[in-house]
Amino acid sequence: MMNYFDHAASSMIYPEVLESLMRAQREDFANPGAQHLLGQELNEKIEDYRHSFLKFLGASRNDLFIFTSSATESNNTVIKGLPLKSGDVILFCPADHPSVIAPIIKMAELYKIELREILLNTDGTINEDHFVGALDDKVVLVVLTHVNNQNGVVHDVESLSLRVKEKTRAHVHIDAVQSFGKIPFKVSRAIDSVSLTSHKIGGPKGVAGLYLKADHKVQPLILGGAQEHGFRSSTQAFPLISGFHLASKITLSAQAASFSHVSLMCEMIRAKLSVELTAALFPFNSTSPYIISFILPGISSDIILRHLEAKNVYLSSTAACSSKVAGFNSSLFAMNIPEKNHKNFLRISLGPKTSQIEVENLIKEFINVWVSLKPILMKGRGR
Amino acid sequence: MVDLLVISIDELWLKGKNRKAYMQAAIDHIAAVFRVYHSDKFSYKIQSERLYYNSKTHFSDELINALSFIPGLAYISKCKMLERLPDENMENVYEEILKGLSFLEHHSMTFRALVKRVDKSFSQTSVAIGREIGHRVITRYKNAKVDLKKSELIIDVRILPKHISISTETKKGIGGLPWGSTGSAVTLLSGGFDSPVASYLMAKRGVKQAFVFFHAYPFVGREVITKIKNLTRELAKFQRQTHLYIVPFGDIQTFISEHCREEYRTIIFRRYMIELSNMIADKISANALITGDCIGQVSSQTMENLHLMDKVSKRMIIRPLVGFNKLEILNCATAIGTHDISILPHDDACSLFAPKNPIITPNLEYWDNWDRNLAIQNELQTALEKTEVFSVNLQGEFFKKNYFSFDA
Repeated sequence: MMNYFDHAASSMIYPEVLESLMRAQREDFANPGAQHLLGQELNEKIEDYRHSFLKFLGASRNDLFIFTSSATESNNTVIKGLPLKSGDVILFCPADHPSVIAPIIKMAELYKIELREILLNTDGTINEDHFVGALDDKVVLVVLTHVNNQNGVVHDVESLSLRVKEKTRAHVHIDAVQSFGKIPFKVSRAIDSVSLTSHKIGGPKGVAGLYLKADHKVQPLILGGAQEHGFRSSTQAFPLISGFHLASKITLSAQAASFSHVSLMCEMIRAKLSVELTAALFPFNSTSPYIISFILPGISSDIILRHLEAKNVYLSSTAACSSKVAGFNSSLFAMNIPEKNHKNFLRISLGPKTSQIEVENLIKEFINVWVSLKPILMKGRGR
Repeated sequence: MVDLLVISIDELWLKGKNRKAYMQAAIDHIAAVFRVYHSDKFSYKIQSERLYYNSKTHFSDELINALSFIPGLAYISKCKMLERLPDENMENVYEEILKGLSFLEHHSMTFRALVKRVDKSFSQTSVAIGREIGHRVITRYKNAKVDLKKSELIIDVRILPKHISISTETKKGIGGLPWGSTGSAVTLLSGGFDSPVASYLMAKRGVKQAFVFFHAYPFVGREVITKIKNLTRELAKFQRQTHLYIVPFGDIQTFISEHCREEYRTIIFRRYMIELSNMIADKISANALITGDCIGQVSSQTMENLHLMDKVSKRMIIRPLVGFNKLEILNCATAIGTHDISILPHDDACSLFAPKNPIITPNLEYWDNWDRNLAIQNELQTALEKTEVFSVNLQGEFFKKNYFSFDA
């Protein structure tokens, strides 16, 4: 039996979404941009899905929701598409996902933009005094993450966005990839754009979304046939968009029930592991129940990860995108984790269907692996 | 006039009785490369130590490049075969040479003429012909300069009984002896710089090889396999075909670590790598093992420790790098194209398990007896059963197998 605890990286597709995806790939092959009826019908459905997503986010019907290929593309579109000029300031958090950090650094290099970093407290929450102190009218873009993909800390993006708007006219972008469908999230008038993705909530890979408030100043990244209201040229992948929509509907309708179930599972894991693994540190507070991250000093986390995968238990050592980088990890550093522990960081992430049996297997196998490896690999070993 | 590909065989003059078999091994290997890189039919003739290949389609640079990696070949040259004119008239030869050097209009280059009279009845001497060629080339091309010692370009002319051959494009082969002509071996790859170089040196000496990698999963990840496959791909070009064996070694390392003195870990790991390599060699009837060992490089490569490996190995362990300096190894790795692959970082289980004070002068009694009453043979057998086997062809394509075999 597979015990999968890497839903924050990617989740399995819902069977009904797969079913609809296969049907759409077979039957809805027409180009939604075509003039004939086959295309027009698909185009109409895409417009309906667009409005559903605006509704899911509690947004106004005048706002825009566009379908992209990935949340990375959504983040890049906003960061690279804003009219930035030399002397402007971007406020961002270095603990965020690389799809936010990398384009910000690139823009700073290209346009001589000043970067200000959001400071985190030792428990992973945002230092609000510092945050407010960093705001002035030179700030043109503030990027916030609702739920951090590595430590799972939930940031109060709604109140933080309001603070931004009190002091500046900056564009506020929210990365809601890890919270959409999991933690209640609605856009407020202080939020200008939001990134979402499909494959982390049981939808297909290759499709994602970007919400843009009606009066946004973002320029499109991809030009061509002017699809997606001129905002993202490319033939629309109707089957993927439709699958993303269905997965969102299923996820959101069960959001509250899933939240209580996952909270229970999360509590079980945290309680058991913190008792059995006396060396483990759980530094983070106000975290999403979907993500449990901790530091286990002594044995490199990727070795634990692979010993567990040999037992059919899958978790993550750092975010999937950066796990190949050895040693120093700048986002863990931003979370105030000392460098010597960067190789000891582990993340267990849950999905709405994570079962108690899976959780029991995880705990059992984790403890087995730890007990068997400790005498071989930890200091003071030998016989 | 015909375009030919002339291939000269290296070290053939050394061989007496075996000469024919060696020649055949080289011809077979060349044919295998032709089948991959030359789409048209071809024929060949043997003349002294040279093979003359003929085809209606021109010979591509890709083909010539692939041929240059075949062990046992000294030179590969594109050559034109001209009819001999009456009265030892060489005008057509000179004209053809000048025509073939038109690139000298735009490039400066040093050259020399290398003339050989296979037909000794030809009355003009090699020196005289060479001088005439040199004179005509520098008169026609201002960019050309004669350099008899370090010339960039060699104009090779041979006076044959009925023809005269000219060649201006010569690619050096790796030389040595034909593939498989001296035996077969299992080569232990580690992912570092040394073992690929060791493999190349023995490939040059005609040793057919299969490669084995000990994968310390789950202590190291799957990424290292990509690296090992890339190294094997580079080394496969010196083999006619080969196999890669990926032996799971993590459980054996755990087993050993749980049962032996910490300072002996590394050499005991190596002992069982040697033993497993011999087990694979048994299955595929290989004659020897090849390692990248170099004396004194790390603590497991002291004379005492290398001797212990010889003691436990059923087969001769060939260590072609034993007297190499690190820089010499790196230069060779660069030349054969493995340097830039080896340099990529990968997880290394040996450093993970590395004892604080590795043993340099081992106690022989402990070495001989530590595994008494231990079921390590079962562990080895299990590892062998779980070994992944790939066959690898000339082009470096991998095909997963589920059995042991040298021949695909």
